[in-house]
Amino acid sequence: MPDASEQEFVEYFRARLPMLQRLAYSLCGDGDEADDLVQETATRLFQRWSRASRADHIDAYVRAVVVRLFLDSRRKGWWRIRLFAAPPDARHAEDGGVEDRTVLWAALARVPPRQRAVLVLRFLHDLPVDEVARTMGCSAGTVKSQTSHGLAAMRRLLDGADLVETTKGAA
Amino acid sequence: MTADEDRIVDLLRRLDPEPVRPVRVDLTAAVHEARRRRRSRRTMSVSAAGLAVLAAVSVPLVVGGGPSAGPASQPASPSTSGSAPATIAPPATTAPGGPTACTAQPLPVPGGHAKSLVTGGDPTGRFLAGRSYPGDGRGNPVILWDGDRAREYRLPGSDQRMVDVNAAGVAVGSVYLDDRPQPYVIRNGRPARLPGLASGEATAVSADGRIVGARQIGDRQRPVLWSDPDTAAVELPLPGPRWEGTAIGVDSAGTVVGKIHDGPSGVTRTAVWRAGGGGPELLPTPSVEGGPASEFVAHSLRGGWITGVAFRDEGKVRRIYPARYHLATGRYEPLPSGVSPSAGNGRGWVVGPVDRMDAGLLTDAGTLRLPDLDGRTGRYAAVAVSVSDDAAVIGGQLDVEPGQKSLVMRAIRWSCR
Repeated sequence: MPDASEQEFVEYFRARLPMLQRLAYSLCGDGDEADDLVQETATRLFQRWSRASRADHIDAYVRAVVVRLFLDSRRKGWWRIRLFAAPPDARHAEDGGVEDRTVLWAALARVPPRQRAVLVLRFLHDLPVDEVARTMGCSAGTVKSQTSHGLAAMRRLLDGADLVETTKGAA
Repeated sequence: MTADEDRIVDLLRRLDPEPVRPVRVDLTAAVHEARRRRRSRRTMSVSAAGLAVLAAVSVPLVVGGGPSAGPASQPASPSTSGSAPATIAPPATTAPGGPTACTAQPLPVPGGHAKSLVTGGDPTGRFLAGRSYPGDGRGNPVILWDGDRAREYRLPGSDQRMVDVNAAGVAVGSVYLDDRPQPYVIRNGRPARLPGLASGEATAVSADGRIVGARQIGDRQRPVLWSDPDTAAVELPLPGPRWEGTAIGVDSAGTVVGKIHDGPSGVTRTAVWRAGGGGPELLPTPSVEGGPASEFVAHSLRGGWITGVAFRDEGKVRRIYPARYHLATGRYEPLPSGVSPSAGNGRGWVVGPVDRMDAGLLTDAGTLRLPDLDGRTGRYAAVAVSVSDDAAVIGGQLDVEPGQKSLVMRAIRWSCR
């Protein structure tokens, strides 16, 4: 029989799954690895659920767990490089949006992990600098400098990629 | 930021991080595995190393007194630490308890963009500041609301945000432009860059137009004051050469409040600069349930009240307590637990997160949860960022489609009575 805390945990986590999956996927760019990250996050969260469930800003806390697990996996070399389905030069799709997205994802995957995490949290997930700093465990200034380095890296990686404006609606 | 980088930011913002298949996460398995690890001493000791890494960057934050703390439970009792003389605060005053009910209303957004939020508000409740997300590659339009009338401003750069407004409708904040934050003001309907800093941000404006914020030097910040929007910023004195931080509030008497620390790893202290110059007074920390707080981080200065968060570390858990300091009496005054403050008002009341999904107003009478558009609570990831002095107007945001894949936040005004 699930106890009350388990029910509470499952209810909370299920509601957050889409958000966490999106975060994990945008960090590692691979569906299987994203699922693994979220699975491990769920396990670690339930391990300390009695405390974590009373935490202020639990969403921020859980996001921080995902980001740390991602960065740890990069540092320890657990991951295998599984770049995105289409390589950057396979630019034959008719939809300019799809084409650009593929190129962008591929470039993002090559930005160093910490810088990538900052770009993902700030721009794909729209978190303010303070919140990113909390999640990453660094200062707001560091977030800003990592952003700047990450964008410079993206610019170098995309040099000559001749991106078109995507036709997708506002994020 | 170069034009190319602006463009990259815009493309990134529109990148849809949606994996093209369903989630393969087994919560039952996660629960079982977590229980197994808890039981297994050996596994625990292994995973403890991993958890220590996590704990180092994200200590669990617990709102003192628990989320269900009633109005009279465990007020933060005042005391001191450091070299300041001990003071004993009187019991909570018998001021009227504040509003007992609020309703949520979406604010109008020029252009009808789906996504918007509130970033600040004025003490009278007349003005709110916020922004929208048109996704047109020109960053976020700033919105100033005067009651129900919204006006949009296109500022240069990206990440435009006006974080404070005064009763005359002067708004201050920052934009991210040329690879650095830059301070901005909107006055009489005209945006302008604040003078005197290559890089920095404005964080607060007083009723008579004094503005404070921070100069950005690489990764470091130093608190600054603009005596008016046309006069170059001056740096505020710090206790020593390694100190850094930012000013967070200013009033018409010229008093400035900031949060500063001695070097990158120093404990954050709340600093008060009085009109007439001189170094800052560093406030002691309050006493909270269980003993003295290790840190008091100020978030707002309004009507003579400094409101913010007191932290007390207990083992690996960092407990959070709302706290308020009355400048005129030089004392911390008790405030019930239940909300982790993000902004305060001229009564020393605060708004901030409650539990996981709600936002609340904390007054002397206790916590009032802010409802969603249906009048319910607990499902809509409410965020409150400003509260007027009478607490009749609270600015913030709600996810309008909770639990859905595409979280859509809307700028919200709560009207309370």
